[in-house]
Amino acid sequence: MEWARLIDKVTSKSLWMMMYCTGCGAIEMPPTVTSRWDVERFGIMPMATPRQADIFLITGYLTKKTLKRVIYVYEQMPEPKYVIAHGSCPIDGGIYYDSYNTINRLDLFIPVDLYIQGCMPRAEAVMDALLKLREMVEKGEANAWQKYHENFEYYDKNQKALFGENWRAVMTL
Amino acid sequence: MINLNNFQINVWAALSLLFLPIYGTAIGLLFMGIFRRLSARIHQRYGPPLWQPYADVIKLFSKKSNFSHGWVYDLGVIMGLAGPALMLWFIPFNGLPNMAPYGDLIVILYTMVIGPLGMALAAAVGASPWGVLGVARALGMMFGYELPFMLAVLAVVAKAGTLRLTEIAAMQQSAGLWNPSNWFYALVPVAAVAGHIALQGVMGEKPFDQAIAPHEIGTGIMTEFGGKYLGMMFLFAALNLFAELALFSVLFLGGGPLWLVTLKALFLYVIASLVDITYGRFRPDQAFALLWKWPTVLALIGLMIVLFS
Repeated sequence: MEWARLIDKVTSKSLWMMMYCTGCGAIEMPPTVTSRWDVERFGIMPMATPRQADIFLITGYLTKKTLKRVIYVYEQMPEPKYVIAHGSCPIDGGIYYDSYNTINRLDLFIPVDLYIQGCMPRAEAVMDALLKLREMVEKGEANAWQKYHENFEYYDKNQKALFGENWRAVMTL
Repeated sequence: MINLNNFQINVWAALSLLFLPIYGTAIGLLFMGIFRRLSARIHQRYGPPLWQPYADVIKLFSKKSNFSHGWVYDLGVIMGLAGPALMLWFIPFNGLPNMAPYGDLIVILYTMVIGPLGMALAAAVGASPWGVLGVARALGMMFGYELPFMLAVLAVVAKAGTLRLTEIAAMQQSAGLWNPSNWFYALVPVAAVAGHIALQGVMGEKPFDQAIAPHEIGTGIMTEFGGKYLGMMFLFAALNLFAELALFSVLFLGGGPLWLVTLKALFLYVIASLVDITYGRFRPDQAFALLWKWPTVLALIGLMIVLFS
């Protein structure tokens, strides 16, 4: 138990993040990672590929098309992995709530650790969320990734209801 | 009859062989931390603490799921780590018993490619197109930097008249440990400058980082690596970095005891980091043309000067 606590403490000091930037939230990322706010001083670094990432940051709305990619990328990330939903769109649809091809709630399809509300959340809010996540990882509370194993039937049911029964078989990247 | 004296010396040598790769990895990770701090200061940021790479490696090794792509993938990663460890064993450090008296420069130049080849093997079976592209670029760059580097080394060999690295190191220290007049950087300056430019390519620092190329081709060779495998990649990068810097400082900057070589390696690495932070990344063809043009011509001129003077 003590050893696990120690590992959690070290892990919280080094979180690599992959940013899914199709929405307008992408514009808040440059000030967050560059010299204006500099998240690298907390050990948080943007990474290029899902295999290397710990945090998956969803910035902005998700369409039916992009959500498939998000689920695939999420499943490629090594565990433990953390998801942050950034902005109103992944929470309740935001200003696109009645669009014919966007989804309104991200946590129906993959488990989410933290939500940042607002449209748009500023870089300060992103920093705040990242530090909160860091605290949660240190205490061993960021366990949303385990829900994907425990409740996979629930997530799978929602995914199939949206995309059709054999969407994984027919999907081409 | 067991000679107890000899036995004790062998235990000490074995311990030193065990110690060298661990020390090299630790120092290499520290160098990476220094690099990240330095680049942050140049970007007018605070940057991560110096121990950040250690935390990264511990985190990577504590990941709960690790994706393998078969036994070649697993073995390639181990082979990658073994290459620079072997190279470090053949580099002479004053007062530290290792395998340096039993091998010469040819052996070291062969061990130099084992590590990158192991990693290339693992990346090539990793089934990621970016990884394969990174491997192709890495092997192409290897052709690019090996020619000027070998020519620069050849100038040193011609000047010293020997291939033995222990003798090359002793020759440079003949005027005293701190006296740079016998260092090959002073004796064959033109070839040394060529070797120094090629060293940037050997280390894969910008402008010669096409094999990794973050955000251009994913992260190149590292694209498919995650968890423990990426941790091994980090350890390989750290150990390889220290081994290459140590080789260059023994060849051109006089060598010496381990702590002095570490200081010289740090000096070389800070220069390389400043170049890395200042420059952008060249296209593979541009980098290749640059390496086969300027350093190669310089190294050839240096070699001519040594041979005909």
